[in-house]
Amino acid sequence: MNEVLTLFKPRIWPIKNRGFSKANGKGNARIFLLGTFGLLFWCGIFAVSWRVLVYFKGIEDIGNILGYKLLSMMLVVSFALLLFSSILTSLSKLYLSRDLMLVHSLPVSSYKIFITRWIDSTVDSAWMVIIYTMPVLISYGIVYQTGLFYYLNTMIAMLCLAVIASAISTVLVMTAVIFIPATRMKSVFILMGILSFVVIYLAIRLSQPELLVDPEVFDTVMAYISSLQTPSSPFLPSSWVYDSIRSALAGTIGNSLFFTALSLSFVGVIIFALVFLADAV
Amino acid sequence: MIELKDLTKKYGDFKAVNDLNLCVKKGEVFGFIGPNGAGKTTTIKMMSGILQPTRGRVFISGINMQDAPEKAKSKIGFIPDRPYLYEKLSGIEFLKFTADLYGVSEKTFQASAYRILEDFSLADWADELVESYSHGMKQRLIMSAALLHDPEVIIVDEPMVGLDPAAIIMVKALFRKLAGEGVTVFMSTHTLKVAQDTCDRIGVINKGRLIATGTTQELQREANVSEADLEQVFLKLTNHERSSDSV
Repeated sequence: MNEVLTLFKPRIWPIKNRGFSKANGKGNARIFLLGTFGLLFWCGIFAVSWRVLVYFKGIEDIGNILGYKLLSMMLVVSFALLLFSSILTSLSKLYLSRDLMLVHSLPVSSYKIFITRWIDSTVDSAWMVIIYTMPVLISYGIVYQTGLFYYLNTMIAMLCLAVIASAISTVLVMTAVIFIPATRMKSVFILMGILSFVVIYLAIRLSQPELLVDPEVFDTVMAYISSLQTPSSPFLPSSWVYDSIRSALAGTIGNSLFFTALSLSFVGVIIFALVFLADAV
Repeated sequence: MIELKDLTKKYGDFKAVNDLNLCVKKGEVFGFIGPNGAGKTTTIKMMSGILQPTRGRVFISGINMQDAPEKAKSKIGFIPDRPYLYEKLSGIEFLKFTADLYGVSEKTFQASAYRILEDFSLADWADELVESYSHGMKQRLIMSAALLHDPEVIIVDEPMVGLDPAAIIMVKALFRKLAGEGVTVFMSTHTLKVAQDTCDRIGVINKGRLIATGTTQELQREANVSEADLEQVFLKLTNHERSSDSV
């Protein structure tokens, strides 16, 4: 465990060193500027989500259904983004990083290096997606007047989603690298581009967004409503997170805990599979 | 001591290193020379546990690299030709990072880190970020890190690249001093003068095969050139290989 923590030090210490850097003033100004833009964007997402949800809440009969459908779509898109982002970061952290020769020459077991790299890759690929889904999820909590359980459960469920996406992407990258050398960046990126397109396309198709905007294709209002209530694929990890958050919003804590436990158990299984595969490769 | 037995590395059908057998004794400075693409760096990467051999074994101080890689690596001080250093760490932090992974105690680190940096004329730069170091300073820092845990074996790829003349003289003297203390030094180099001046024995590798080993005099005899410097011996041996291949 100590070795894993030590392997993180080159990432942690520079934060402390930022004050010593020659480009300190310039760097701080850049961080401040980016931070301000980031915060404004975050607040913007929150304001829009809150308004939309308040509007949906005001629509009789289908208001809640629309709110849940929006949540489902957001989670599917977030999952697709996490997958794509993780593919890029895991390829770079596990195979193309410039310090690989240095760390592999040090007396540390390969699986510890792998674990460190994978955690690093997960954090790098997920932090932005998690931060920018937060305002939407917080606005759900406010509009649906939930309690502390909702926020805690949502936090755990979103972390599960990030870890699952990262683990699936890492397995994909490790399998792809058996057939395509990691150094062939261009080919790999083309492949990833195609894969990401397919993933995003499938994600959007599975969420059936056209049903939201075109109720006229349905013969009756009831058909429209029942179509909106159609659950997305039960095999998508984003569906488990959706079911967990939805149950928390509805106040059914037991159901919510069940779906969070489902996500957590899959996290356990996929991490085990990942370490097993890493050891075998 | 370093022992290589039937060491082979294949990339598809191409044999980068072919059945390499070699023993470098404790306290010996061994030079490893060969033309570009001969297999020097591949051999060094396998010896330092970075690359898995296709076939064969590497023993470091009697420890099989494949059976106990961490234990074998803990005996090695590895100095690559193009070192990667974390630019946002200070020199002393980089030393601390490597020392922690080599299991060097805090007490030993405190006692020896600044002394080593002093030896490599880096003490004044200890708290500066690596990004402000020149290439030569980075090379000296990676050497300091490789020596901090008192390795039994030093594996060094092109040690003199980027060093100024004073540093070259210092490093040559350092390797001889370490060999005198029982440290085995395995050094790959293109600078034949360095090999001639520093090494007890020299191995010539060409097209993945070790074609000759011995002292400079023994290599002169093998190449049938007397009174010639290592450069001519090297050219004769590698050209002979090329002409035998073409026949």
